[in-house]
Amino acid sequence: MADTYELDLEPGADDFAEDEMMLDDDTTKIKSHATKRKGRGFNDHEDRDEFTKEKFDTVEADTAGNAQKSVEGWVIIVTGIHKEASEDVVEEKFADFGDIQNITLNVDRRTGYIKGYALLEFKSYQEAKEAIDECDNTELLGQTIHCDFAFVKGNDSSIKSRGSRQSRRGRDRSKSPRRR
Amino acid sequence: MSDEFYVRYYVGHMGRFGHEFLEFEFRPDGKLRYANNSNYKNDSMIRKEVYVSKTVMNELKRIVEESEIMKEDDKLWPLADKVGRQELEIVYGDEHISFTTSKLGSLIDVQESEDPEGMRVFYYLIQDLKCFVFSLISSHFKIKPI
Repeated sequence: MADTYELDLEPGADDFAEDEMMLDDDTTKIKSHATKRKGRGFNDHEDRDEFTKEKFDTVEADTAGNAQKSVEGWVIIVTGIHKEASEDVVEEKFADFGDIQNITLNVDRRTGYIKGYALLEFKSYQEAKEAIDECDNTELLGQTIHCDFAFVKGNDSSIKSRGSRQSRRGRDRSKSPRRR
Repeated sequence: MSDEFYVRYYVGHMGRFGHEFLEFEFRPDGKLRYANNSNYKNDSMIRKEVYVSKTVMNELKRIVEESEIMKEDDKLWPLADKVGRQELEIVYGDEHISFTTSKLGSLIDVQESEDPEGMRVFYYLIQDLKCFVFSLISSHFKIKPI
């Protein structure tokens, strides 16, 4: 990963290209670490330009701590859910912390049982935070569950918010290496 | 080591409405990117990105691990054709798979293939991954991703 960052005196135009480059390096790096490769895709590669060429939409919403707000509320993920749990069981576990705006409990496509995770949406950060703090590492139907915010501030979210540009990484910046 | 994880899935075809495809990837730093390009009725491309937490990445890792997809191989799977193409690329620690195959309409295609066991693993994993991604994207952006 490139651990140096270019000081951008003209924010805007080339931000995306720069982000892309750093991210590509990250992914390229872990791919190069792999020692066991398998599959026809290594010889038969499609052009990925159409996927990567344009900018992706993001939600420009609040953040708090490390958490990122979604369009309508704060979404938490719960993992380790018992395969025979139901929406009611999950809802009951979290009902004390606020009105659950939305709950997604997906099933395993092969077995038809619960896959093991749920997404729950709360209106306020406080409610979501309390639900996480109170329920992480507790039991539900005899299994330990884990709770966390589903969405977080990214590495490059500070690049998007103009105000914090100067404080992006507390170390010297130098020109990032160009891609060859 | 825990960050050596990357997942990308693509399904698409060239047809009457141009190149129509759905693609998503989870990068090692938690960046989830999703694109769905359906040109039907001049729909424009949906392109969304969001960073997911470590817990989400760990759940994705669990789904991949429990599927045992890394043990499979695409060498006997049907080749991508005019009807379409699927690609699944995963980096998990020191293992890197990049599988390609045709679109699979139903379980019958799976059963009739030369590697029904491997294809079944792929078939169900893809469904579970799509389900996971659609739920994440729709809960964050409040859109129907398909």
